[in-house]
Amino acid sequence: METRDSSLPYSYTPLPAADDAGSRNDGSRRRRRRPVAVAAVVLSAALLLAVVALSGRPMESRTGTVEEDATMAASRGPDAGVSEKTSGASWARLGASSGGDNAFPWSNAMLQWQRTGFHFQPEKNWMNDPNGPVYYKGWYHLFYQYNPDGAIWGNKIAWGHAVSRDLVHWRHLPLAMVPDQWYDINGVWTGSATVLPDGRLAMLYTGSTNESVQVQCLAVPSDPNDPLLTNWTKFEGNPVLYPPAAIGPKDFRDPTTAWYDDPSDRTWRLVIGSKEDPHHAGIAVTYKTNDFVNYELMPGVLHRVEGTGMWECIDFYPVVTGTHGKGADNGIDMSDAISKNGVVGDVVHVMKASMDDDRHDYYALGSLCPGRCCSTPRPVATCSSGPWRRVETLRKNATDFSGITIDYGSVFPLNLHRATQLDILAEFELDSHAVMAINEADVAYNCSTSGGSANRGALGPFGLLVLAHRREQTAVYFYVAKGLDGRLTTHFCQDESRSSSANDIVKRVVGNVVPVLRGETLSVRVLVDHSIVESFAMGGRSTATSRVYPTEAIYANAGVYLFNNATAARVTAKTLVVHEMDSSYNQAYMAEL
Amino acid sequence: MLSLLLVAIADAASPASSAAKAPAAAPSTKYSVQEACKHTAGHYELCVATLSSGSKTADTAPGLARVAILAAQQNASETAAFLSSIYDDSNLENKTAELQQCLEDCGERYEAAVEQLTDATTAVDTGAYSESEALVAASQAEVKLCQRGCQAVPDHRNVLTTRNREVDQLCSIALAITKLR
Repeated sequence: METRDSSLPYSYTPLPAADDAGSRNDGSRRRRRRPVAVAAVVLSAALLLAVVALSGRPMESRTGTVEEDATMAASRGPDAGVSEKTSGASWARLGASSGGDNAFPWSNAMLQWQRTGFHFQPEKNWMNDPNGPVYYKGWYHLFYQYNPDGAIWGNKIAWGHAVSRDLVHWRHLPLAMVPDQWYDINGVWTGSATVLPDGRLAMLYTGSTNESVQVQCLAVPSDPNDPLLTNWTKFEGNPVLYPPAAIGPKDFRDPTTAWYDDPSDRTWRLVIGSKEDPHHAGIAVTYKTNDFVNYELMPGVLHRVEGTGMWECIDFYPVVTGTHGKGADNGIDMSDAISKNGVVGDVVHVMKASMDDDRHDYYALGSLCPGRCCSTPRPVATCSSGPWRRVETLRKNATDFSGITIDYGSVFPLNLHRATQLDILAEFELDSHAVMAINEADVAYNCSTSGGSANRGALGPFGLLVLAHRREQTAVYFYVAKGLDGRLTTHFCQDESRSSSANDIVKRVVGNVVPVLRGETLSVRVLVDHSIVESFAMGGRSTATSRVYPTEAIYANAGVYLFNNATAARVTAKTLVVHEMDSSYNQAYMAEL
Repeated sequence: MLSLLLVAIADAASPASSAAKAPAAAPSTKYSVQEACKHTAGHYELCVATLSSGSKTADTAPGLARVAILAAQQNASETAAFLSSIYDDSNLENKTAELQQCLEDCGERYEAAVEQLTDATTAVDTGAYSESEALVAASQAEVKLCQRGCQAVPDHRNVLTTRNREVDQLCSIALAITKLR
C-alpha cells in the first residue's frame, strides 16, 4: 500500500482535545486573549438582549450579528496545522477594543449586497482553496474547500462542487466528498485531479485523520459515465500515502496533478509541499507511481528555499517561450513538455507555492531535468494571467471616456448606468514637461506604508476610484517616483483603507514597483464586482486583488471617478473604456436536469 | 459630493469616524409630526402633509421615517407602473429612440428603487437603521440618475421631472427623520 520507512510508527500520538464540537478556544497563542474577549462579547450580548427586552422591538438581525462575533473569534487553522484561513479581521476587532465598540451592524441583507455578480461563490458559507480543477466529458469542474457549517474555516471541511460549460456560468452540484472516514474525518482537504491517457480520472487529496495526521487519499468517480461527476468513491485501501520519516505529520498536504515523466515506463510523478528543519526551509518532494496506489518517494527535493516555512498548494507546470507550435497559445501539457512532443521553443517550468508563514503566493522559474529542477529558480513577482476572452463575453456595453486630461488635485466622475460590475481599461500618461521639471521625488515610496491615495506626491498618486461614494472609495493608482539620476520608478497600488465605513474589517494598501519600459504608457485593467476589485497593471506585471465591503457605495450610489492627486503634473487618460458586466447567474443545484 | 471626495483624497489618513455605533441604549424619543418635520430642511410642508396622512399612531423617529419611506415607495411604484404603460403605448407622439432609451432606463431604475424602499421598510422594522439609510440613499440615487439620463435627451419634455422630484424629496425626508432616532 504505502511505501514508508519502516522506522515510522504506525499510529500517532493523539492531539489534546482538538476535536471537541463547538470548542473554538484552541490554540495556545490565543488562550491569553480569548477569555477577556469572549467575556466582553458575551457581556455586550447580554446588554443588547436586555435593551431589546426593554424597548420591545424585535432585534433578530442584531443578535445574529453578535453571535457571529463570538464564532468569528478563532478559526481552527493553525490548530490543525494549516495556514490561518481568515483575513485577520477578528484580530483587528478583538485587539482594538473589547466587546462590540468597533462592530459594524452588519445584517444578512447588507452582506447580500456584497455577493459577487460574476465571480464564483458558493450559495453560502466559507470557501477556500480551489480543488481538482478538471475538464471532463465536456464540462469544466471546480471543486473547492467548503465548510457546510458556517462562514469560517472549520473542522468538517468538505469538497464543494460546481460545473460549467464556459468557465463563466456555473451550476452548483451537491458536495462531492465529505469527511466520513477515519482518514479524513477532520477534513477532506486540498487535492488535484489527474486525467489518465485512457480518459479515466484519479483524484488525490489530503485527508486529516482522526488524529489530525495529514495523509494522501485516492478517490475516483463513482460513475465515470456521468459527465457531471456528481458522486465519488474513496479507494478502500486509503490512505495511499503517509508522511515519510523526514516529514512532520502536519506538514504533508496538497498533492499536485501527476504527469508522465517517461511514457515508456508508464511512471507518473507528482509533487507535495512540506517543510524541514533546520533553517525552516520550504521544500517540494516528488513521488513516483504506476497505479496511484503504490508510491515511491524520490530522493532529495525538487526545490528548497530556506526560511520560507511550509509550502502549501504547490502548482508545477510548464510554459513555452516560443510563439508557435504546441503550447504557444493555449498552454502546454506537462507530459508533452517533458517529451518535447510537438513543442517548438524553450520550455520553462513554473513552480508556485503558497507560503503558510505570510500567506502570499510565490512563483519560481526553472528547468526540469528528469527528477529534479536544474537551474536555480528565481522568484518572480507575478505571471500574467486572466481568462480574458471568456470574461469578456459578459460585457454588456462600452462607454468611452478616452482623452480626458485631469488637472492635479482633481477628481472626474464617470457617468455610468451602474458601477457595481465593471471591466475597466485605462492607459495613463503624465505630462512630460512636468516630469522633466521635477528633480527628485519620493524615492522612498512604498505602497504599503504610504497611507494610500490621500498622500500626495509630485507625480502621483493618480488613477481610479471605484465603489466610491462620499467617504467610501477603493483607489487603484500609479505613483511615479523620480531619482536624482532622472530615472523613474513606477509604483502600482490598491488602497482599501477608505473602502468601507466599517472598522471591523481588514483594510490595507497593497502594491509594489511595476516595471515600465521606455515609451510605454501606464496601463491597468480593473474588474469590479460588488466586493472584489481586481487589477492588472502593465498587462499583468503587477496585480492586486482586494475584498472590500462598502456600506454606502452600493447599488446606484457606487461610483467610479478618475482622480489625480499629484501636486505637480497633469494626467491624461489616453484610453479609458468602461464595460458594464452582466452577472453569471449561477444556478442552484437541481436534482434532475 | 465631488468636494467630499477631494477632501477624502487630500486628507491624511484619519481614523474613520463614520463607523455606525452600536444601537442606542435608551428607548426612542417621541416626536410629533411637526417636530420631526422641522429637521427636514426645505421640505417642511411636504413632510407634514405626507406624515399626517400616514399612520396616526407613529410617534417615534423610526415610526415616522417608516411612513415617509412607504410614501416614497408608493410614489416610486406608481411611477414604475406609469413607465411600463407609456413604454409600449404610442401615447407619446414621435418618441425618439433616445427618449425611449431614457424611459427604459428609468423603468429599470424605478423597479430597483421600489425593491430597495421595500427592503428599507423591513430594515426599519428590525431596527437596522444604517441599513435602511443606505437603502433609501441608494433608491434616491436611482431616481437622480434617471433624471440625469433623461435630461440629456433633447426632447424629454420633462415627462418624469415632477415624479422624480417628488420621490427624491420623500427620500430626503425619510433620511432626515431616520437620523433623528
